[in-house]
Amino acid sequence: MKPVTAEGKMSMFPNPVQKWVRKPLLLIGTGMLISVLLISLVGPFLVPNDPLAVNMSERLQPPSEKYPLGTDHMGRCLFSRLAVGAQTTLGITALVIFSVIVIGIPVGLISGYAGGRLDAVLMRIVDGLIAFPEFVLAIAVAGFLGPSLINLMLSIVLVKWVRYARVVRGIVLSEREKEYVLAARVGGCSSWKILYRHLLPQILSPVLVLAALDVGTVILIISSLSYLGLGIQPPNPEWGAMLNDGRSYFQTFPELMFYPGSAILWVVLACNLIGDGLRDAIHETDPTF
Amino acid sequence: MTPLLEINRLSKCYPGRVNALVDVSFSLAEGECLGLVGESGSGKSTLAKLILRLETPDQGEILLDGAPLHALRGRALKNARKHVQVIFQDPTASLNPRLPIWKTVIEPLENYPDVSPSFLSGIRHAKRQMAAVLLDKVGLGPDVLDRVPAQLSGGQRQRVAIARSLSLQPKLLVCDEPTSSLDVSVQAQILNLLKGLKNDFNMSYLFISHDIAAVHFMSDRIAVLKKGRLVDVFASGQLFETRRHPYTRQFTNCQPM
Repeated sequence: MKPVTAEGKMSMFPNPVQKWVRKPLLLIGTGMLISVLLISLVGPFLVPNDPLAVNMSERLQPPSEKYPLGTDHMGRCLFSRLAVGAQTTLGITALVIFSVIVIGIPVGLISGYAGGRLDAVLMRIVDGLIAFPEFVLAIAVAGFLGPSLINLMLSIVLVKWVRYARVVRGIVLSEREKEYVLAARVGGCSSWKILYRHLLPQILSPVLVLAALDVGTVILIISSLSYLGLGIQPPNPEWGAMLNDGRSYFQTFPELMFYPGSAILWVVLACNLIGDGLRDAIHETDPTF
Repeated sequence: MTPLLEINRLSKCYPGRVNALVDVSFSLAEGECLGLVGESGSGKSTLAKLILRLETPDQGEILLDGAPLHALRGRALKNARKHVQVIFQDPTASLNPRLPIWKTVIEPLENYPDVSPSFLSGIRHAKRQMAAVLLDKVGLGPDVLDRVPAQLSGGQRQRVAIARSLSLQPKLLVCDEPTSSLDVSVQAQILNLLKGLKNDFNMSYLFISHDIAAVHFMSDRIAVLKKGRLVDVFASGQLFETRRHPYTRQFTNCQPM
């Protein structure tokens, strides 16, 4: 038997930090996201003006010392609104992604492992929801429930969890016939133990990638619904709602739409870079994924 | 005296395919090693899965110590399972790639807190110590305890799988082609290890392989499976006799002994 040294093999398995650093795009994406997270955490304490304070005598001002990015059509500080709006947008996004994962993983695990009639019922529900374009369905649900923050989140979670359940079920279906799962069953593991000890770790990295890529689309849906008036209600600052506010001044003061639009672009780009980078990084160590 | 394992007219058919197993009957005495040979698709692995209760038979009986293993469910099945353990063909697939070796090895012992094998007396509460003792039984040092399967060679991984199968001190060990994915030089080591463990632990083996030489080396009796049917059962020493089934003689003729 040939001796295998731990050190010799370790170089094939670089630790996660090394891997992160070696991927420039992943690093850039992470940096971009961290910058926005910092602004959303610290921003509300450092903003120069009250984001809700209307001052009709100073509407549509150019950037100045008092207003770093100028003011909007109601004389509110654009910079302050962007910084405080970051918290709303990112907070809702995080909550939505979290709920989607919490619903999608158990449904996928149980559906894939139990099989049979339960699987058939759950997957027909998933098929039904996937059949609609997700944005149209989200608009329909949000419109039906009425404009509010909770309904906004509910509608996005409803259209998003199905893809997670699908992905998880697919992985479980291929993993559950593998010999390490069979060996665990022969060794007396209960179904629950097989699910959380052997199958759950296998699905975490693909779900992480899916979630990172989805952050961008969720932000876009939130902004779009707010833009349509179905999401965050005025006067609360939110990027999509700010886009909507600036619409009527697009020809004369395009910066009212440019700033929130750029903020959305920045975060969506960051999340897509992270998602793509993570997928490549996982693919390198586990080519089957 | 009832045999340890008795298979009566066992049949299994997968939907949309030919019969995987037709009317198979044999018995396995305590301490005996029964070799099972057959080409790919002959139903060897199906038989193993039925005995391990990973599949349920369409017809027939599987009696373990006289108890109907094929009909057990729930808690009774879990209790019967501890007497029958398995070594699979591919040790890379049969070990969870993310679990450190010591956790894999003692997982069955965690599932059966009431089982207390004689070789673990006194340390039944100390998980890492139990893992070290089990690994020692298969010739691995304590340095592999904290590694993951990817950091071991194929032969070492198969030894880990063997250590796991020993942990409950089973009465019957199903070896489903335990050497066919290993290097030739490692195959002999694993066969010798299995032969030694069989005596030390007083286990019975169902030794499945398409390698007639390995089966001849390991087994007291040999059963030959062809297209789901048992065509020949004989004592290992009678392998080269002229009255063997023509299918068995194909095996002995085409393989260098």
